Amino acid sequence: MSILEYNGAAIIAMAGKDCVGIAADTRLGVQAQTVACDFKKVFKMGDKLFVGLAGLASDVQTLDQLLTFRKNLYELKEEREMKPKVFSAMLSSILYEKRFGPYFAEPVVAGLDDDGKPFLSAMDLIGAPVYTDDFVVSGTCTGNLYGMCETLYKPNLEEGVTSRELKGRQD
Amino acid sequence: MDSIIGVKYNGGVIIAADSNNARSILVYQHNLDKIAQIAPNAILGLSGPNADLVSFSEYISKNLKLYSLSNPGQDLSTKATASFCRNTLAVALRKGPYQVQTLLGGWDASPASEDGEGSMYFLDYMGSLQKVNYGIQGYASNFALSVLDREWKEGLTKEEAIKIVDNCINVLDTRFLISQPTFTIKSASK
Repeated sequence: MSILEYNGAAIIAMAGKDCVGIAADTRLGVQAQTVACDFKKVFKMGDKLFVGLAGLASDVQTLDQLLTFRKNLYELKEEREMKPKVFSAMLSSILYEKRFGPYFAEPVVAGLDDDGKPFLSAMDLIGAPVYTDDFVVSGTCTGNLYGMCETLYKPNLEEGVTSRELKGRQD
Repeated sequence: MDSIIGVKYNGGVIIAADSNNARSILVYQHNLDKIAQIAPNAILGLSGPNADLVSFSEYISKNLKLYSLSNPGQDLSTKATASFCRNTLAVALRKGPYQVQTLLGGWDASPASEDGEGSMYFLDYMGSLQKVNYGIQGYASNFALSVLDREWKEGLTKEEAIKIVDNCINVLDTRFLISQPTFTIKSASK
């Protein structure tokens, strides 16, 4: 039994032409048993910023609260919106802070920066980031998700097509 | 070993819990109340070691009482109560966890209905919180969750909900290894 696989998740984010999409399953499980089918794993942090959190459900919810708090505090102090790459860096820092007692969550950040350029990043549970321009995945079936992405992804897909591709992977 | 069963109906919630108090192979008593009334409008069914059942439920109910005394007239919604419980569990998880699996059920007045509405929350010991229509904690879930999956529907009356809980208890009687002769049942409604 792995703590990261206790509740189960499948998160995927993908970039298209001037757009990003993010999708997640909504199952809350306790190992093999399904407890609920409407559990939220993607959180809107801003108009053009989403974070998807895979891993232990309690830590997913704690991180959502922590990130909202820290982002709001930043925006109050700085009097400006938080950019996706800054948010991603902050999340990475928050995770590494707990290096020897980590949050069991592996996040995925998807957003559009100021000039509308897509931003994607993913991290492991201690905050090691990866920045890509195509797609990122996280959760308990990353093998399957990576396989689908590599096969079906094409750069600069239009918005409607990108969301269809995302949906294809969830099914 | 504890079985906590919760069902939401139209206008409230019911929580049923077995009343066995046991450790290893010995049953100390058959009349332990595992459903705490933590607020005037909320009940908490708990499963776990005796010490944690009591210390968690008392910590929550006393803090909620303090809140109501410090903030007169400001009732906490069930959602807020659940949030408080979740936070307590999540913080304790990395210090000294409360080993309690819980089902929180509450009643809130609602503009949509004069009978108000019930809400039920599945809250596990690590602090994962999810609003549900019904839920079960303990081994009982392996047996009775399918009964609820089949029989629960929107807009149940209290009597229908009690009947469904009855069916859950019957399936436990038939198939569950541990004998649970007595159950406590409480409801939160107007």
